This record gives sequence, structure tokens and C-alpha cells, in this order.
Amino acid sequence: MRRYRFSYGKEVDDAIDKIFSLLLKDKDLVKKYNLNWLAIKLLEGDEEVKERVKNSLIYQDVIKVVEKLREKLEEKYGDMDVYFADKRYDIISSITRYIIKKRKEVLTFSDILDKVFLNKYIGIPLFISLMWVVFQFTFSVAAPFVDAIDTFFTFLADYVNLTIKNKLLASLVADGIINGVGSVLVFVPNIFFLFFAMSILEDSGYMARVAFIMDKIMRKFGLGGRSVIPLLLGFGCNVPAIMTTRTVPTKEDRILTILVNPLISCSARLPVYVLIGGALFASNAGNVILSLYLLGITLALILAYVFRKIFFGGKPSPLILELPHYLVPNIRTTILHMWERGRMFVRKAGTIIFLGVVLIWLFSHLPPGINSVEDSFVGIFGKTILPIFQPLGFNDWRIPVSLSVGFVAKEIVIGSLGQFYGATGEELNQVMQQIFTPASAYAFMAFTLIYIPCLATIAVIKNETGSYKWTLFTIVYGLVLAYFVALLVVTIGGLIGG
Amino acid sequence: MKNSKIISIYTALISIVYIMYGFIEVINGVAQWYIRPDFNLQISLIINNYQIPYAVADPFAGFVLIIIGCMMLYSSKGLLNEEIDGFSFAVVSSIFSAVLFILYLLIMFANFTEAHILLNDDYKDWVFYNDLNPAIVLFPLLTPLIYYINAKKGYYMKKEVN
Repeated sequence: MRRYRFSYGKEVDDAIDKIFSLLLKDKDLVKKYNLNWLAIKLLEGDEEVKERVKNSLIYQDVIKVVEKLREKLEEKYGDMDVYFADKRYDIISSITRYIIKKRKEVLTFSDILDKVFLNKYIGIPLFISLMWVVFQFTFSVAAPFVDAIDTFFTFLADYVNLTIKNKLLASLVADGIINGVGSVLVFVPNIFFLFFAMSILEDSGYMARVAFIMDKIMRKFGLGGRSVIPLLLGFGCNVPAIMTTRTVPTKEDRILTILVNPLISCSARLPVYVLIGGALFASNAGNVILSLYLLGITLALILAYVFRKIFFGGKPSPLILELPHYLVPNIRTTILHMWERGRMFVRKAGTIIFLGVVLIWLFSHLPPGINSVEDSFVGIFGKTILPIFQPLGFNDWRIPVSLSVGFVAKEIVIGSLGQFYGATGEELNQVMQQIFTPASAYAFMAFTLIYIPCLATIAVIKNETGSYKWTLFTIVYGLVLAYFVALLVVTIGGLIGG
Repeated sequence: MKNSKIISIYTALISIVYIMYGFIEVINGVAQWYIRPDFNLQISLIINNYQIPYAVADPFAGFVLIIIGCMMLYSSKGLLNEEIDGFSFAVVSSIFSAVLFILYLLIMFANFTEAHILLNDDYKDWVFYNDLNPAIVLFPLLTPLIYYINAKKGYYMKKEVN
């Protein structure tokens, strides 16, 4: 039998030959099909072709050999269907090079930009560079607005302390509400600036490209292409991001995306990074914040790989995405997007954070008749759990308490710190410099990034997975991982003198 | 052809300066963080006792400058042969340089506000020259490249069709 064929590389050609010689044993197949084509299709894993040869007497023997060969080749070359497609394109371009005379290439503006933004070497470094620009914008350009709001709240707290004669009421309003809610509200400019920058990237059409360039990496870690969008949305808020996983086609991919989504740093964690990063890392705060976002993405990828291996197996679903044209963002639409997302943060400050700080104030003044906050319920609770956190370099009982209440909403971590230390903005910065070293500060931020997602996220995880088991698992793995990473940070930080 | 040769050589030269300052910022950052806090490598002019441009100690900022420089360097080869790849990399590196330039101008404005409007003590020693870093100083030098891109856009680009 004469065989006309192209070379797919020595190892793959050998595998095709092996399957070919097996297929030769079935005379029916020889009559009906081109066996070379059949061997390639079986090696590619083409389900339709498998179905066609299922009734062959040699099917079981052939499929065993095919699976073995395929597994071996995929270890080296990745997905065989992708490998064959690439090779075919190579063959096609090697032919067209000789037979087609090219006219000068003329492209649209979007095509020109895509040549660089989707480039396999420069695409990801460009994405990281753009994210660096976003965080510099969020931190450095927003700084004067933050300071102005801080000055306002400091003035307001002093004014309340001077004008309200009843000491307890003055403490509730000044220390509880103004310092608590104020220490969160000072970060409103950072949140709005972040959303403004992200909206520009989205409206320009760049974010769709990010999904595309991240897809290849994510597939290596067991996350499907459709998981990219929910993960990117997680930078805003994990709640809608988890809801978006409904677009992920298979149940396994969906649960996997939900499980790792809380590791993507949402905007509620930003105030924690801005406060601690600004206090301990000064001019490098923007870089530190970027590193935390990258840490979250890295951990999400690693855990997706581990969870895929342990719980799910199989392969992630492919990404099919129509890339929109690039557009110059319309400033009105961008501001509207920023406002829609940012106002959620302000609304939260007026509701759940307000309620949270009032409750913390109440429990830090109970039982009645105590002389200091250390004797209060909050103080007793903090001192009881402190030994667990001391190996992480958190030596003040107020820190574990703030992390505990952050379970309700991550912003309350800052609200409670502001309340405990009776300070906002610059004053709170100075306190942070006293209670943290650079290593323990980074450990604290890493812990805040990784540990239990907020209450709303937990509720949505339960709804979307429909399982208490996965919900509990998310909480537990988050806590264990946060502790482990924070411990690693302080240990390494201690070794290099941080 | 003559124009493309000139712009190609010019772009290559600018790209080397971007890469050089990128490496200086990375070295300063790493050295100041981990080796000697007073380490300060600069290649600059002294104007009014200030070093201009002043390469900050920031590995991430340096990384971004290196990325821009590498894109420009790659584009210079393509521009010489009038290839679309060279044009594409020249366009994106120019856009990125502009983004960085605007970012640093905004940061300069923010620092000015802190120093002269909010009278923040942390900024009492701030002067305009402090913020004249390589990304700000080098961007105006890209004017010939941007002019060339604008002049050649009709040659390489067609209208977007929805």
C-alpha cells in the first residue's frame, strides 16, 4: 500500500506508523478508509472517527495502543489535537511561501495592536506592565485625595470630642463611628481610581485580550478558557465573579473556578494594602500592592492545578472568544462604570461597615464597668486567640480581632484597626509602623488576601455550588493556606532581615 | 527608504537609552532594598544641582522601561525593512511610552498638591526636579517616531470595518 504523507515529527510519525500497522489487520477498514488518515485522527482523539471504527474487531487492541501513545506524546508536546493543527499550519505556510506572492500587508488599527498585545512573548510582560501602571495610578495619583479626606475625618473626630459632653456618646461617635467608618472611607479615592483605570482597560477592548493571552497559561494549570472572565471580574468583587461562573460549561470547571476565585484580590482588600503598604513600604507601596495581586493570581493557578489533579481530573474546556475592536474609551461611559462599581463600596461603608464598627465599639465597652478595652469582650477574645497568630509576627491582640471581624467584610479589618487605635489616615499609618515590621506587614496583607472570603462571597459559593461541602472546603483551605503563606513570608523576611 | 533607515537607527538608539535606564532603575531598586540603602547609580545631567533625569530605585518601573525599550528595539529592524511587524511594535511602544509619561505627570501633579496645597510635612522637601525621571524626559525624544508613525499610517493601515 502506497502512503503519501507529510511529516509531523519523528516521534509522532513513529506513533502513526504503529497505529497504521495495527489497523492493517482489519481488511474492512483497509477497504473503507485511508488508514494513514485514520491513524492520525485516532491519535488526535477525534471522537467521531472513534465512533466509526468502534465495531471493528481490533478496536480494543488499537485503542489501548493509541491511548498509551497519545499519553506519552502529550507529556512532551501538549494537546495532540492542537499539535496536529499547528503542524498542519506549518505545512501550509511552508507551501504557500513558494506559491503565493504576497502583496504589502495592510491591517486595521486593531490588528496592528493585536500583533503586539497578543504576541506570545511580549503579551504577558505587557499585561504585567499595564497592571503596574494601574496600581501606580491607584496609589500615587489618588494620594492627595486620600490625605484630604483623612484631614476632614481627623477634624470631625476632634470636633465631636470637643462638642459632645457625654463621654460615652462622644466615644461612640468619634472613636466608634468616625474613626471606624472614616478609616475605611479615606480609601474611597483609591477604589474609584482603581475602577476608573480598570474601566478604561475594559472599554478599550484590552481586557478581552487579557482573557485570550491568559488562556494558554491557565489551561496548563487546569483552568478552562471560560474561567478567565470570572477570575478577571474577581478583581472588582468576588460575588458577581462567582455568579459569572454560570457561563463555564462543565460542572467540574465551574466548581474549580469558584474554589479559586476568592484568591483573586477584590477591591475590598485594597484599603488594607493601601494602609499597610503605604505605612511600611512608602514609595514602593504601589509595587507591594501589585505583588499581592500577582501573589493571588499565582496561588489561584497553583491551587487550580492541585484541585484539578485531586478532585476533578479531565481537561478544561476550550475558550472561543470574539475579540472586539479597540476603541478610545468614552470618558462619560468610563466615569459611569467607575461610579456604578465604586458606589457599592460607599454604600457598604454606610451599612454593613457602619453596623460592624458600632458592634465592635459596643463589645469593646462591655461588660459594663471595665477600665480598659483590654478587659472588654473584644480584648479577652483577642488575647485568647493571639498565641495562634504570634508565629506570624502579629504581637498585638487587636490584629487577630481585626482579621476575625474581617470575615463579615474585608473593609472592616481597617475600620476596626482605626477604632482600636483611635486614629485614621496618617496617624493610623504611624501606629502601623510601630506594630508591624516590613515582613509581618506583608504577612498580614498576604493573610488578608488569602483567608476566609467575606460573608457575601461564602453565601454565593453555597448558592452556586449547591454544596455545604465545597463551601466549607473553601473556608478551611483559605485559612490553612493563609496561615502557611504568612508564616513563610515572616520566616523568609526574618532571614533577609525584614 | 532613506527615511525608514533614519527612523530605524533613531528608534534603535532611543530604545537602548530606555533599556539602559530600565536596568539602572532595577539595579538601584534591588541594591537599595537588599544591599546598600545609599546605593544610587545615575547617568544624568546636573541642572540647578539636580540630577536630570533621575532614575528611581524601583525594579518594577525599570522592568516597564525595559519592556518599552525591547519593543522599540524590535520595531527598529522592522521599520528598516518597512514591515508591518516593525510598524506595530513602534505604535504600541509609543502608546505605552505616552501612558507612562502621562502617569508620571499625574504623579508629579499629585506630589505638587501634597507639597503646596495640602502642605503635607512628608512633601516639604519636594521640588519639581525630583520627579523628572527617565520616562518623562525620554518621551519627548520620541516625537520623530510618532511623527513618522502618523505619516505612514495610511501606508500600513486600513479603516476598521464593524
